[in-house]
Parts: sequence; C-alpha cells; structure tokens
Amino acid sequence: MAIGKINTLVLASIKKINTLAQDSWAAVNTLAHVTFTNTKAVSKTISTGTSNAITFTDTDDTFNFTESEAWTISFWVKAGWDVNLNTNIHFITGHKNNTSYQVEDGIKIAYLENNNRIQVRYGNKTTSSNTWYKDAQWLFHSNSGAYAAGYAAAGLGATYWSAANRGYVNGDNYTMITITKAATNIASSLKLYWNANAAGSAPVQNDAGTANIGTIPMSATDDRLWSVGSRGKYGSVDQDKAGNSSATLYNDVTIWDKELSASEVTSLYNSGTVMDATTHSAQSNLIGNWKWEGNGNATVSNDNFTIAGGSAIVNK
Amino acid sequence: MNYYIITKETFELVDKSQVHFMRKSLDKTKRLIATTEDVEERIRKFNNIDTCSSYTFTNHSSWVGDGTGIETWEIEEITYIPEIDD
Repeated sequence: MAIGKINTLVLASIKKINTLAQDSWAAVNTLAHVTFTNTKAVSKTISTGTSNAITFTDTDDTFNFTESEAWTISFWVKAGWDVNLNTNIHFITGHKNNTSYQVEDGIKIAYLENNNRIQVRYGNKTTSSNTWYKDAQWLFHSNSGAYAAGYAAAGLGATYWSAANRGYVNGDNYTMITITKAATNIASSLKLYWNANAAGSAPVQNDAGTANIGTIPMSATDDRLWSVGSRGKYGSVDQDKAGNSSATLYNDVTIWDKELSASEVTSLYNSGTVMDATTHSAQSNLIGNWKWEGNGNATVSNDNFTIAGGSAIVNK
Repeated sequence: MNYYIITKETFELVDKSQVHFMRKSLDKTKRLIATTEDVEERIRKFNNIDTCSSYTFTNHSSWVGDGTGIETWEIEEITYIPEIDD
C-alpha cells in the first residue's frame, strides 16, 4: 500500500476517534448538567430538640478541624426572622458530641440579630474555667471606619438584617455566607464574604484564653455533632436558637479543607446562581457538600444529615 | 463588673467607655448593661452575671423574641461598641 494511502487512512481514523471522543465528552457534560439541580432547600423548624434538628455526627473525623488548620464553610441562607427577635440565630455549629459546653472542640457561625452581627467562634472548653476561643464579629449597619467593609458587603443599609431587609441577595432572595479561616490560630485569620463581597477580617475580634491553648488543643479525633439552623446539643441546651420563623431557609452547604481565596469565593458565588461545587476549581479541597435536593445526603463525604421532626426539605 | 437594668434616658448619661455589654429591651425603653461604673439611678441591680441572665429568662417577653433569654456567654462576649451605640 502506498504511503499516501496509509496516511489518508490514519488521518481518517484519527478524525473518527476525535469525533467519538468529542461526542462522548459532550454526553458527559450534558449528563453532569442534567444531574445538578437546585430546586430545594432545607427549613429548620423553630421547635427545639434533637427530634426537630438537622444534624449528623462526624464519626470518621472528616470535619475535625483543629486550631492550626485552614478551612472554609459556605452556605446559602434566606432570612426569615424579623427585627424583634432580639437574640441570636445559629446558622451552623459543629462541636464535640455529648459535651457540657458549646465551644468544646467547636466551631459556630451565628447571627446576632440584636446587634446585626455575624459571629464566628472556634475554640475549646473542657471545664467551666478552662477555656479558650477565637471570636470574630462583623456588623453591617455602620458605614464608618473598620465597619465600612461589612456595610458595603451586605447592602443592608442602616437597617438590620431580616426577612424585611435582606440586603444583597440572588434572584431567589438567598445570601451566600462564606467564612474562611487561615491556618494561623488567631481571630484575624477569620474572614467573611457576603455573596462574593469581601468583608475582610472582623472589626470585633477576641482572642481569649490564650494561655490555655497548649493545654486543651482542639481534638482531631473526637466525634463532632454538626447542626444546621440551631446551636447543637450540650449541657441542658438541645438544638435551640433557630430564630423565630421557619421561613428561614438554608441551601447548598459546602465545607473545604483550605482557606478559599477571594477569587475562589467569587467563583463559588457564580454571579448568584448556585453552582455544582464539585466542578469548582478548588474541588479537590471540597470535603463536604450538601444540596438538600430531597434529603440531607452528602454529595461529597459520607456524612448525611438527618432532617428530623418539623424540619423539612422545602422548595427553595 | 456591675449588672443593671436602667432606662434609656439613664443610659445616655452613663460612661460608655465602661460599658462592656448592652441589650435594649424589646420595647426599646430599657437597657440591660454590664459596666464597671456604679450606677445609682437604676431599675434593677443584679448580684452577678448568672442572676442577671436568669432574670431575662424569667422575663423573656421583655427581652427576647424567641422565648429564651440573654445568656451569660452573650453578656461576656458580645462587646458593646460605644461609637456606634451597639
């Protein structure tokens, strides 16, 4: 066979293979898009107790961040509370299971409605007097000095965050709240993003109990109880502080084992369209992803949330 | 630390630099404060942080909207910021 004929056959074969490969890849992409839907969210009832909670216990230590590790927790929330709540709403908490104190091996993200602040705290507390924590608080209603970044990020104006004043939201009235932490064990290592808007390090920071850090580091092995929409279970407290309206909804929750950069948070915000986080550029650091599309099962990790009692999957 | 309930008007007269915690009542007419100052004109004084917190649970309808109360960790950690009065 002539060399020219062979070349023609080879080229034809390569073209055929390319066509088949492109068709296959298109089919994979189509399938990926078909499988990602975002029509549901989860509602935490204002009824208290484990029997009404949204929880899982992390028995395989996937999310056992210590004080010297970087992490990111991101979630979408649709504010349903009103301005007369005058207390706090716990968005996400993770702390040692069956413990006496909230912050024992704990991380919490809460909204302090009476002060219009988001509070993030991590730390450890093993006795009534043996405690340390790093605490960061961002407020959103003062457009001056250290508070101006939060004011600009949230878009709430001088009025507090509530169902009647949700600030910058996407088309479904949700806000993506993202907390990042650098590896350094200090309150200033915590940063807040409102959607893709950076509020930076907190204007209110507390580095409390530093002297005890060496004696009670956060455990990498204790099982932690993670809760959405309430503050967990410890002492006599059992899954309260959900706010005063079950109209508060939570959508896609992601946990990452790195401090996402500002550009990575912008990418995750995706111009307000909830994205498939498994396609994010930092997906190799995505260790937890819950979409609430029909249940509390994880897309990433093997830790599925139990949605109990009056808490429920609802239309977003 | 001293723990008081005072009126809104009295609060305007206290030394804000000594106030560590402040919570408005739901009707905005009263202030529950933790301060290092001795305040004579008060509605109520508490012996310690625990009795202060406990009072708000008993009288929650005046202080919180979810039927609970103001907890000790809130009084200890949610720092009053004088320049924004919050």
